[in-house]
Amino acid sequence: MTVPAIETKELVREYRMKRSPQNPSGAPVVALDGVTLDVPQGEMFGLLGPNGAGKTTLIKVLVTLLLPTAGAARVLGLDVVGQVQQIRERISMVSGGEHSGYGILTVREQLWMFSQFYGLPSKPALARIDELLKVVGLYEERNRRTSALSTGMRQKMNLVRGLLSDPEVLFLDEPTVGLDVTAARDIRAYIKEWIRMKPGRTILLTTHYMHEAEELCDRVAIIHKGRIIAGDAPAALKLRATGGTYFLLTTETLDGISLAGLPGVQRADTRALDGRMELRLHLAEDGAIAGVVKVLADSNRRIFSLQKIEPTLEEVFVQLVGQRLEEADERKAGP
Amino acid sequence: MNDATPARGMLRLLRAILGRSYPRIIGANRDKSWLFYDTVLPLLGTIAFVYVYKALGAPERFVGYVIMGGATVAFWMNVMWSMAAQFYWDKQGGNLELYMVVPCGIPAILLGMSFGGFVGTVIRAIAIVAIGSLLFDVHYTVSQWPVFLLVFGVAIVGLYGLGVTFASLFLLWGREAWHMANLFMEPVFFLSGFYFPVRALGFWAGMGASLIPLTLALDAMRQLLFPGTHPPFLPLGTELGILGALAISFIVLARFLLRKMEYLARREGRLSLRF
Amino acid sequence: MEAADRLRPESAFASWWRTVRVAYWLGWQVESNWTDPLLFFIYSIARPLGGALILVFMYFVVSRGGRGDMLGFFLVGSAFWPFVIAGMMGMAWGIISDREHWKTLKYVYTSPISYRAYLVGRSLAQATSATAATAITLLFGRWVLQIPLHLSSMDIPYALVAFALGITSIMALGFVVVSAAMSISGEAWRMPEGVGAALYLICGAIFPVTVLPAVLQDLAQAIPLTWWLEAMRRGLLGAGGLRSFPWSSDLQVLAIFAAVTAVWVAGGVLVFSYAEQRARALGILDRESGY
Repeated sequence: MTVPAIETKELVREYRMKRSPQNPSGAPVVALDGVTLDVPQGEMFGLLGPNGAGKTTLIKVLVTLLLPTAGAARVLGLDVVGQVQQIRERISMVSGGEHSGYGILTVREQLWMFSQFYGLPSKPALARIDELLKVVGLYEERNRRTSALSTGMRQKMNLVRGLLSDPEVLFLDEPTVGLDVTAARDIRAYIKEWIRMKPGRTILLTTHYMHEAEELCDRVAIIHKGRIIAGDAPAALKLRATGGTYFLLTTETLDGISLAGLPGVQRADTRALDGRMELRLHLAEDGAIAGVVKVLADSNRRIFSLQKIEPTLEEVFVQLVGQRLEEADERKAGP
Repeated sequence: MNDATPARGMLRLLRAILGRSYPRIIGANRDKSWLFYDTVLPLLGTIAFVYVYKALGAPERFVGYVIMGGATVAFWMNVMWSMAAQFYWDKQGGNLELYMVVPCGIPAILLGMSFGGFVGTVIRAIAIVAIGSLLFDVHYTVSQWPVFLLVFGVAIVGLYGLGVTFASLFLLWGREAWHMANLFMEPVFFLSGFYFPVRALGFWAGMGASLIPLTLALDAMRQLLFPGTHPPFLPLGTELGILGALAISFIVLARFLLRKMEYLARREGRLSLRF
Repeated sequence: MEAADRLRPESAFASWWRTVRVAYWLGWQVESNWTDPLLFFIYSIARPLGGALILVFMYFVVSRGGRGDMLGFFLVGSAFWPFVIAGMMGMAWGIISDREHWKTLKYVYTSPISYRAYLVGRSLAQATSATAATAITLLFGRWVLQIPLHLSSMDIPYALVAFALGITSIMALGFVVVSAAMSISGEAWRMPEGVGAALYLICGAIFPVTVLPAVLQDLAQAIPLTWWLEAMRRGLLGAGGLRSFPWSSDLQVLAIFAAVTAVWVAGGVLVFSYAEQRARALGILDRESGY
């Protein structure tokens, strides 16, 4: 029986804080609050949550950058506190929004340098670098200085760095954050390709993009305020978003019209979209949509589109946390 | 692709050292601005001090002192800006986290940084000594080459050991490394006697300043370069002995502080506040 | 009413002065971290005194503990030199930090102000931060080294005029440096340091220019800082001190200094205008180096 790739039990991580006007008592911030996880080898596991939920802290504990305050964590059966070196031999990490590297070096040189930290012989290391650069579409830029790379190219280079040592467990911390749509799609495609070519490998991916987690992951855990509040296959998670139906409606600006109190309307999230308003409606039953349409019609609001939608992880998150992920992000970023 | 079996142990250590020294060596080749900033600038300062001695009507060996001091500045600048402050830059740039999870370990990275920095600095120092000596027609007669090289070698080990010690301290201290490195500029040039014999400071001040390996190294090398005329601070053998003790102490201290830094970084999460 | 106030035409000088004041305020906000005790110790005590003590001990080693005019010469030069570096840095970094770090260059440049006035304000703010180092070095010289810095023997009006002219000449040099910094990227931020090192050697900051080779002596006379430091020494140390230009009277020094400064101010403005035009033509005014 193989050991799990990642295993945590009641993992707690606190950060000591200085006294400040926001935190007059200097109370520690609890970033992880009893996280228990079990990720078998060969799985692509997603950790979904808003900014500040504890995703990066969990990765840092697992890659041996941070010690846990309490609880236990093992990677490939190895203890993250006592078996640091053995873990580092077998893992790799790629973080999004990274600007690491030496601008003076070319892409190929930068990657070669990291290959040496893993003890790879130069010749096969360079061959592997070229091969991976071709896979991510960066081969033509191999002799370009890293200081001249765009954000997307830099992230592709970082991904290659992470794959260079052929890790058994790859930790991807928000690998597409800050990238444009095309670059993000490319990165996701390479991740999928890598896991397809290396079926025994494990990936732990953190993201706050719902669709990314849905697209890539075999299983997803939702983390909020340092606690895992749900975890399952994306399809199974979506089944939890029961008790109603979902509609997507586009109309004119609402200007004070409230839909939340209408009979059968359990939740109405609005989003401005090119001068129009997009409404995601969670209704008790299909018939409740008639009431919504009537209110809009009575208020002389044109309806541009209306469709019934399948629940997504977004709906699961809303049900579990009581707010949309974007709202949770904004609250965290707010004063 | 399968023949790329990673090495372990000493071979990996060597590969990592070479890997980390590469950007330093190749960087000097690509960005030629160092020719001006790291060679011409110290040389200009050195020449200014030469003219001070000329204005004072000092004997010729004082010009030699100043030129040696100029070369020593190159080493000190390298240790402070590219070793002591390096973890801070690496933290800012996001490299430090990556270095902490690579299997070769931080000491290999630091050895690579030291080696790469040393190679570049030796070239700069030689350029400063050669140009300065040519301009002012200074001649040196090294009385005992093996001892001279031994003093230099032991001092360099101690110096880079001090650099690694400071690297951990700067990071633990949490102040901007830029300012801390600045603190150790002119005050150290003064206390270590970069431009005058350290004996002038008096015995106890000189002993205190000897905690910086360059203090005794400069005095010992001056004894060897200007035998009979340079007023020694301590006998040559004593200075070499203290330098050896300093080198060992700084290596031990550096290792201890590195471990402490790694531990604190992991325990307190000081390397990043993102969570 | 407020709109009317805003629309009220402002004289060119009032607008220039307002810009200098705002830029000075901004520069002060950016640089005022030097009031942090540790940073104050580093930049206003440790570094300047360390630099001065090197010279003092070089002097003591050669003179075997004797005292003479050279000590005062060193000290005044060392005390006022930080203004040169800070003034030039303030101006160059006004462009470089706005371009590379704060990313505000294009917005400041395209606002309806005199960009030269803006740079003058930034430079003055940085130069102000050198005041403490100068004062501490002078006090150290007076009380520890017993250098004859006595109010009774000082020519204070002379020193004040020389100081004002000195700051003006530093601004002029700053415009030349900033013109070069505008044209290059990458290592531009170290340029004031490089120019400062060259000037330190040529301008008699720590030794009389008479010991320089003839060609450098001629060059020294063309740079206002040489005359500035000479004038400051004459104003503060009184008669009988060591001179870089022993053949000139005090008034002659001041007159030549004023003339050289005027030439450099005109030159600085011209060079800056050329660099500005060139940068706009090449589209490199707000180009970031990526360093």
